[in-house]
Amino acid sequence: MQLTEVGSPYLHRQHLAVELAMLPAGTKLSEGQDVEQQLDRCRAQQPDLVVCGLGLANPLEDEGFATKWSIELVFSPIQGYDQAADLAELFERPLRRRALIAEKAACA
Amino acid sequence: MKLTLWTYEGPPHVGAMRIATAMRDVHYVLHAPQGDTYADLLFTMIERLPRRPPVTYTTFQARDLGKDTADLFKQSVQAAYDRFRPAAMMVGASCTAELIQDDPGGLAASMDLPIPVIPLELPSYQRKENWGAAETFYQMVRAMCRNAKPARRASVRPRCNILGPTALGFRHRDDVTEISRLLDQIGIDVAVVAPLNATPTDLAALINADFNVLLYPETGSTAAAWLEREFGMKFTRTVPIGVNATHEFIREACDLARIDPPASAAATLRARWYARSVDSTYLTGKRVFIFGDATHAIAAARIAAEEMGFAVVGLGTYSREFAREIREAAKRYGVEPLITDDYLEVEQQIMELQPELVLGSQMERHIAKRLSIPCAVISAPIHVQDFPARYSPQMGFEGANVMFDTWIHPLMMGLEEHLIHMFREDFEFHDGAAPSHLGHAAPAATAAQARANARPVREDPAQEAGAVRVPELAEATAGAASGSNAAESTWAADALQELNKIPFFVRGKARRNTERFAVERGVNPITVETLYDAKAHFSR
Repeated sequence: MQLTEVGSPYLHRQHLAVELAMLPAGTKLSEGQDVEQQLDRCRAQQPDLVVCGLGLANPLEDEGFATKWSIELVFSPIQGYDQAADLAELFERPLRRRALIAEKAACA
Repeated sequence: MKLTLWTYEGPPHVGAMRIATAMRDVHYVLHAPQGDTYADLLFTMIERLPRRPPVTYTTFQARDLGKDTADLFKQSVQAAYDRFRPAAMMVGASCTAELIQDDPGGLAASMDLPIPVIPLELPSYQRKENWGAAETFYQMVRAMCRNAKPARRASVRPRCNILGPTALGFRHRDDVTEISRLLDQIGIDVAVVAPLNATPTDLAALINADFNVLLYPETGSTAAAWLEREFGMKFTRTVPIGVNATHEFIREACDLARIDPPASAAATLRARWYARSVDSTYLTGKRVFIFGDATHAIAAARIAAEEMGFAVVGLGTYSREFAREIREAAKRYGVEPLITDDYLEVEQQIMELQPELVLGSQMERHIAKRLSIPCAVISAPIHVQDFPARYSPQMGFEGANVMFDTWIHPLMMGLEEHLIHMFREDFEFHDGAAPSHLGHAAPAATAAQARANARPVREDPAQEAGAVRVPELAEATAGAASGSNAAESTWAADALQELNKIPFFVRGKARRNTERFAVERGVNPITVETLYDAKAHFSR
């Protein structure tokens, strides 16, 4: 996956120093929530998947973006090697679902 | 101060959001900390709106508090105006922001925006969501109508407005469709529906109608009363929920429109016949507990008593603004009104009353589910499943049909459960028996095995108390609260079998009475004879 932007309402750079170092060099980080500007950047980038909160998910889906609820990453057990497949599946499911229920030609 | 885990209504700024989100071409700038943006998902997630509410939060953080939060607010107003170009703007503060006293109204007024800017003063610590919605709608109507001049009209038919439907309302979308159709059918045009889908310009046109139809007093009555005071516009007092109320509503609307009531407008009504049909006889006197917003609770009580033939055993609301109306209604059914916003009190009363049906909000649904009592949702607060894909109004004649179905279906399940209990020892119906439609493919189980499977005899009282066969839950809880009396009686196996033949919705009561009877007389263990002696004793 390529990261177009990683944003968080509040980013504690000291606490997250180890994790931040693991991000690919040059990853765009954003903090705080000027949500309108963030959405503008998102629309400009046209990512294949947006990981976001439930307040934004349905509106973004309506705009044509595939979304993944960020809360699921908090609630699902995704730690360690054992659950790595589950973690990958979390990202893959919205994409698979869109393909499954994609609109076929409307009846004449 | 009281802490709670859950609440029937949000703070008043959520009410304001319900108005802003319902309307078109408005924007609400809310001075609020970052965490308050959660309110968006009430609309995008629960109501499944495909767009964000038209709300800009200033999202100040702890570190901003030392700086100029007033300036932050003004920047947010300007940015929201530049981006969205709304026809009118609402400004206000959420609970937390109210404490820093930045005066959003004054700040916005000082900016001289070329559109109406409506300041909202919503006292977060005294008032709640529905009040906030009513006040916001009133302030919007007042701002848009204050200097409006009534326009000449070409229409020959009488015209009314529909007031009250909001975003995140319980079935408001479908109620508006149903009542608009009904009004059209009886010869009345609907001029403006507000706030749902109305623009500020639409609000200014409210005064051109002949009268108002007030569908939701919780959110619309402040505006309706003001329009009556300022412009002499009368408004309907009857909320058309239920067959009788809908007929009354039609008469009232025709009266205000000065037209003759139609001979019949109820061609699609089935609920009345369904309630009269013989299969509904078993509904007679079902004990029902009702709790919700005042409008829906009062309407439900009337339908329950007059149209279903139920017995209303409890009636309550969390809408303190409508406590008087609830008290009057409760008097009609001879019950003590329950006016509270503490769901634990509601749960307590449901446990004490042991009703056979609960009509309530999503919270009462949870409570009823836990107690294994059939339940239907009749009021906000709501859940994603209360925005069904299908047409499902509560108002008008179709609303009466919808309610007949949604209230009765859980009871049908109750009847089925009763029948299963009655016949579960029958050789054809025991747990080990294969479904009859599978004929001879059934696995051969001996009658003795089947009987053992069907009815595990529970003789250990401790195990009994821990077993969550939920009709017994209320009783187990009550037993634990009242001391160890219940634990002292043990049940003989055959007495327990006999007890289980009693319909589950009265079984708890029968069990408690029998145990009390046994303890008072020092009978131990309880036998089949004790059970029948107790029955004879208490029916005297």
